[in-house]
Amino acid sequence: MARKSSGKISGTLLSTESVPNNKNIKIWSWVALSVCIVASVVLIGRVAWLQFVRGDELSQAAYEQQNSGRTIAASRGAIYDTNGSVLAVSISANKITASRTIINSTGDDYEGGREEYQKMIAKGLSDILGIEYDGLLEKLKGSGNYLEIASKLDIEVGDKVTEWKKNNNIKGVYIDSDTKRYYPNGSLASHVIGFTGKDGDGLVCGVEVALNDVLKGTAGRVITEVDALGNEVPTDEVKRIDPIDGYNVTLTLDATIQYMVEEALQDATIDFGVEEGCCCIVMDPDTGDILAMASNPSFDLNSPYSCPDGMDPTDWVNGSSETVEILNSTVWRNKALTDTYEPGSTFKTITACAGLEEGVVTPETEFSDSAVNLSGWTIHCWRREGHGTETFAKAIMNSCNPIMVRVSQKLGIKTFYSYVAAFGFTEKTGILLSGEANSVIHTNPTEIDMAVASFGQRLQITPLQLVSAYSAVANGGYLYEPRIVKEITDNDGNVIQRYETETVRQVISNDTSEKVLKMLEDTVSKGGGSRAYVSGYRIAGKTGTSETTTTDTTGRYVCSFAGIAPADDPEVVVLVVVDHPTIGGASGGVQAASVAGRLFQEILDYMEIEKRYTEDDLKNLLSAYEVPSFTEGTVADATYTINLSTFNYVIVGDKSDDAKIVAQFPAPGVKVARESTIVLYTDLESNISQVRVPDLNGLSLEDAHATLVGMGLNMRAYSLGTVVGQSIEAGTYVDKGSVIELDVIDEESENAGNDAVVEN
Amino acid sequence: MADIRKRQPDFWLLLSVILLVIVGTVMICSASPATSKNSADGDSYTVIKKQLLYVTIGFGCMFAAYAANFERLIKKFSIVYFAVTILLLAAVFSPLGVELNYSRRWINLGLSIQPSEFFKTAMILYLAYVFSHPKIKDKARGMWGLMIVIAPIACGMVLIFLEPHVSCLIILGIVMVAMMVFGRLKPYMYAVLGGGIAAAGVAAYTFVPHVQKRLNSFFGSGTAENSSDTWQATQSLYAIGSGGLRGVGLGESMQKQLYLPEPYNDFIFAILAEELGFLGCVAVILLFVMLIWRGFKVAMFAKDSYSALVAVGLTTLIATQFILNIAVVTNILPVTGVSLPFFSYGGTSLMTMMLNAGILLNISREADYIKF
Repeated sequence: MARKSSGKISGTLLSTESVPNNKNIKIWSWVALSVCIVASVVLIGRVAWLQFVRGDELSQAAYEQQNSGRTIAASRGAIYDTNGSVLAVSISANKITASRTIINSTGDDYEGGREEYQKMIAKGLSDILGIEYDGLLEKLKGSGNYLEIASKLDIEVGDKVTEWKKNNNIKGVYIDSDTKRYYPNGSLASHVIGFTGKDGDGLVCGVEVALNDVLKGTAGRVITEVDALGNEVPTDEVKRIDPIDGYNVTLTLDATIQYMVEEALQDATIDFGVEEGCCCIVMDPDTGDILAMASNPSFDLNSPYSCPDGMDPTDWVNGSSETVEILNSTVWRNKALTDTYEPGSTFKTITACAGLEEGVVTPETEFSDSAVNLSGWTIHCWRREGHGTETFAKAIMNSCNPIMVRVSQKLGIKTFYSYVAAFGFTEKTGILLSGEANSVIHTNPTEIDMAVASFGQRLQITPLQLVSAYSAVANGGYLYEPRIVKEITDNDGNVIQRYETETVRQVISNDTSEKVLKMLEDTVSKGGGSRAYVSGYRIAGKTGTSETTTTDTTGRYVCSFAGIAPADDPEVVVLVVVDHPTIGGASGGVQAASVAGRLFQEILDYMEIEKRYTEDDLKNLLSAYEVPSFTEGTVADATYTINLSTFNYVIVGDKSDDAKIVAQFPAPGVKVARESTIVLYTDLESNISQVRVPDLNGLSLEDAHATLVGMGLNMRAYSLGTVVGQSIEAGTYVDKGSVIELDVIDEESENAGNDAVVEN
Repeated sequence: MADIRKRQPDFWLLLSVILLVIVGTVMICSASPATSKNSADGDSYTVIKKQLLYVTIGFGCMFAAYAANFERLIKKFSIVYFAVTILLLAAVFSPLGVELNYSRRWINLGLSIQPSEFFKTAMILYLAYVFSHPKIKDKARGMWGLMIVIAPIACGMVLIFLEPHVSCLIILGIVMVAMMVFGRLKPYMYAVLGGGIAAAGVAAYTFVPHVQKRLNSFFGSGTAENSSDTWQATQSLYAIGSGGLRGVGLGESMQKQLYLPEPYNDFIFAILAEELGFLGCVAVILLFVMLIWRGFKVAMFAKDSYSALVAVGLTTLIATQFILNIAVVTNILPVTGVSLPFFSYGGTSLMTMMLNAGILLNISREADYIKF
């Protein structure tokens, strides 16, 4: 009110009119001002809502829009094996993008008009890039500004587009840098490495998926545009954010061992007529490092979508959903960790460990191998009449099921399964690869469940779980998390992250470990695992066979061999799983054992682990075995017999089980050394490849033997020492299976050498 | 009179106007080069150069209006100015008229000007004159008197409707209603007024396809996905949302890089929000609030009812454009072509806004509230 009266005073002083301040204007001014203030508060609130509540969402959308046009691909990190060999690498490429806005505005000034201009661009690009003209033209006419036309193009193709663009004075088409994945070794370790999809991200399987975030890097971008007339904006207005390259990954995998493994699996697939594939894992038991992991069939990483071998390629469409489904269930499948199987007798090692660790048995404890009756089931030994009364060590060697059941019964359900869990069979191993399957093990086991589990039946585990458990047996009892990635480095070689070996737990004592290794060694040198025997190396291991009852296929056996070498100081653990071999029978996992034997020979040799011949080994070299007669019999009979012996075989001609053997070489009755090769002919027309006889002079008998066996030749010798003569001259070409008699001087006894005797 | 001339203008009013013009010019300089580069002459600085010229002229207008003898040069010629602007509006349809984007809103007198902007100011002077004139005002407050008063305005509005420039009609309508209320209509007239507003709204929606389209676009029905209105609104939200508390920094806006069409025009506030963030937005809104507050204060204490009504009209005009513009930019209201006073690019708009500010300052000089 004070205001009003004062107003009047000054008003009268200043105004030439009557006092103007009518109440109406004041009241309505306050009303209007209040309305404006309320409106302003609403506006501020709205801005705050947009910037703080919806800020992330809106700025993300803005960012995506601003970067949807032209990005510069980051170079994806490389993948190396443990020795630094390149397994996967990114190479420079080009991609082609188009700006519809620029094309339209330039086209409007083009003599033929916008439509003709679009047609000209579509024609030019479809010719160079080999893409469909109509489809491209449709895309150019579409809405929105940026359009990606093609990516991952070779640099030469990009250069062609650049030249075409220049020659025809094209506006609105851009050639940007891109990267392309290249796998120098094609199919090598395909399941472990995995491959990248169209957007460059890892796809389906392998390290490319598991470490995608590490490998991919951050794409760069070109921010400012070109003007409406298609001219490039001057450089000071172009914002270019450089891409950040992905990190490099070094695996524990050894490419050489991986190659050996894959070759061995491929040969096994053919030799044994394997129908459901096979897989193999090689692990370093001291670290849990995966040295090799292979799954057969495999695929070429550089063309993962193409039709796999053995399938009809006529209707195959690369990348269609049907074919991807087929690939997913076949060649892309890493059987070593995405498939489960019944381990069979290889699981007896676990029962043995539990029994010894708990003290319920010792290797010397005697058991009866008679059948066990349990809840209406009778469990026999695989040899129907059994092995009578034998020690526990012998029971492992002879793979007697009833004795395993008796041991598990001594342990009790709770203790037995606590070991199953402790060895890691009830959980995923945690390996840094995707797709690991869950094992299938009874959660509330009964007596009968445990009885069959004691010899590895009615439970499903992954090969990776078993190889980890065997590593624990090998290294003194420590279960490690399988390690596939060793370290992550940047382009300057700085280590970003190093993966250390993770110990899960100690499962058994060192003492138990040693006892079990000894039993497994005997199993290979004297028992059912003899196919894995390599003279000069001490190999411990166990075969396993189980019938797959979960599929419709009858007679589908999974043969496996899990081995550790050298038994006195384990360096590698090898697991070979062969699913449904059709040649050579399916008894006792011989196929798997022979693959493992070959691998031990190659791997230990590669690792430069010296051969040390035991007295038994040396005695074996001199022992001669008479070649039995196989003629007139079938392939199945012959291979069955040979697989149970210490011989190897090669079949020439029809390899099917029913084929009749018409000739053999060496002839029946010839005496040859252990590990000799017998060539079986089912067809006299076929020729066997010849081999060149090596010069063996000066080699020790052991080395000479190893050399000859490796070539498919046979040896006969009469004493230990140094070779001074050979019955077939070096350089001569002979058939595989030929017997070479060696003249050996025993230096220590100063004996003069025997005369060389030639026998064919 | 000598005493009066020595009187100072309202400090806060002057300060807010000058600050708004400075911030607006800076924002135009930041927002325009990317789009400007795209124009026919390819010069990134076309818009900036022109705007600097307009700012200079604008300050000239402001000073002229401020220094002018209010009685002899403004009040006395209210009706004349109004008549002249109606003629200018009609000239839009003469050969002097310029058509752009399917609208005829400009006439080319060497410099192209937009008569509708001048019409806003002239209408305010005219209504103030009518509602304050001792002999006319009582009649003007009644039904028939008011209809006679409105008739010439209606003529101008029809011309603007034909341009077409619907958003300008909305602003004129709001200002007109405000001045009638401040001019104190007879009580029963308020009912008539309310009915008139409702009728105008319905008529606009029913008979003007333009209005219908924009409303539909806003409510997300009946329009194609990439229609330019939705595009503008979306891009505007992207810009504001990217700003955060402090913004991405002056000159760093990404949305002005051809995403937001004509970022220096009606949507300049979105770029401001992106570059200067929430704090920048609040600062600018507070400057407008200060201006409006001082504007109404000038009205309350103006020396006579004519000055008071002119102050009310001009303040309402600025407030309306400010609120409508930011409401559109923040997507509270559908897209209309309302410019942000002192900010948006455009010669006539800036010149008339500064002229308006000059008139307000002129009135403030003689208002008597300063001593309170």
